[in-house]
Amino acid sequence: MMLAFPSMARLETSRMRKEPRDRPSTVSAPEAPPEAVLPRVAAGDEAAARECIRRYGPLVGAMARRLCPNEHEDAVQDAFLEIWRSAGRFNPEMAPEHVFVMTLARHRLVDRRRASSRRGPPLLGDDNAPDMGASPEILADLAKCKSAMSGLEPTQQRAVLLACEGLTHEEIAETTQLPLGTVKSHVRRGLMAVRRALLGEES
Amino acid sequence: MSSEKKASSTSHERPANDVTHDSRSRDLSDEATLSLVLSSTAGQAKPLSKGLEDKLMASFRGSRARVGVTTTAAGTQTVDLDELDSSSRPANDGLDGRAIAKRRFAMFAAAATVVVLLGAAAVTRLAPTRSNVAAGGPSESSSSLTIARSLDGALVVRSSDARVREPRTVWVHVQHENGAYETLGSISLDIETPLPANMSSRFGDADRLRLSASPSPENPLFEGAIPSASPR
Repeated sequence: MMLAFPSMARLETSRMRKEPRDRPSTVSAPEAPPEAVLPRVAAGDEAAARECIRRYGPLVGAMARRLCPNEHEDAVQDAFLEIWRSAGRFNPEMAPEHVFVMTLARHRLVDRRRASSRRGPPLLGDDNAPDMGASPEILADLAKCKSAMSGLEPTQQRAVLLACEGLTHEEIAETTQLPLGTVKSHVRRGLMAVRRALLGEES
Repeated sequence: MSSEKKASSTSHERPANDVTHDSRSRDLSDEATLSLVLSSTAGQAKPLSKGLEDKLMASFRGSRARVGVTTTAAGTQTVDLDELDSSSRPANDGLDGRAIAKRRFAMFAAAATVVVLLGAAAVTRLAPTRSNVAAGGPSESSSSLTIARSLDGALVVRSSDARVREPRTVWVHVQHENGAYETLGSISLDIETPLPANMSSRFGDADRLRLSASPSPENPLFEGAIPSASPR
């Protein structure tokens, strides 16, 4: 299968290397891609921490400004503290590094947003694309993601974006005034569409 | 399709917790997909400010600080092992095992000395020695408390008063530039009490630290400006 993006291609390749469950694996643990900084961060390398901030800071900053607009610097610090603590858990077999980092960051930001009564502006209608500090492969993944999102029905799009903010299905239903079942269906199908696009699969 | 039923089993789950059982894409979780969607729609990514980068580096150093804790008759003392380790680390690592063993012995001897000195200072009600804490800039004190910054950037509350030798729970609050208070949690106060990394990282240079005997920031025991990060 031809994959459009190297980061996701790596994920696909590692998936194909997996041993069947009922046979003990004789393959040694896969090494992190050479450009990964998290293993060095976990080892306490300050240069790697700086590189991690340079590489992912702008994206985490953008997410923080969106989810926690009134306290985005504190939110960025929270997110990076989580990254420092969890760097040792990074496994390139499970996901590319930037996906791991973005997932950790979103977790912390959503927690912080939920803990705060202040809510930011809605995510919809923002056409600014991340363009600084991210590597070409990250930008390619994000562009694919955005393209897939633009192909969704507006209500589906809205449901997925609200899910990104950490809202539950019920909260999304309340916000959008859609039936709960419809919300679940919108979110599930929307995520499947984005995932297919990221993995370069035909819809 | 049973997998679809599972995906929509309960309305109380967050969408991110649902598992979408698509055979071709099962390895990219909903959580990861949501994170990428958020990144792609979050707005323009700008480089972080130098000040914020410095704070993140300080939190990185704080997150990996190793602290040795020793209990003596005078109370619990803490020694930053990283500090001792790095100060005695040679530029050239080409040493034999005997030299390394000697250095390790010297390191533990130094740690023991620091502990004994701190204990003696507490017993005689003198101010504790500086040990591993570096003066990090301006600090204010109440009758017995000061705030300083250790060489690895962590904030340390020091008490020069032997009356607080016994552990005593105090609440840590940050006062932001706009005057608003945020309660970060509680610490057990000792002669030298490093704030946990998740607390240290919450203080900006213009913020002030307040300690109180209750969760409320009212009636503070201590309030002081945050020392600027000392150069490494």
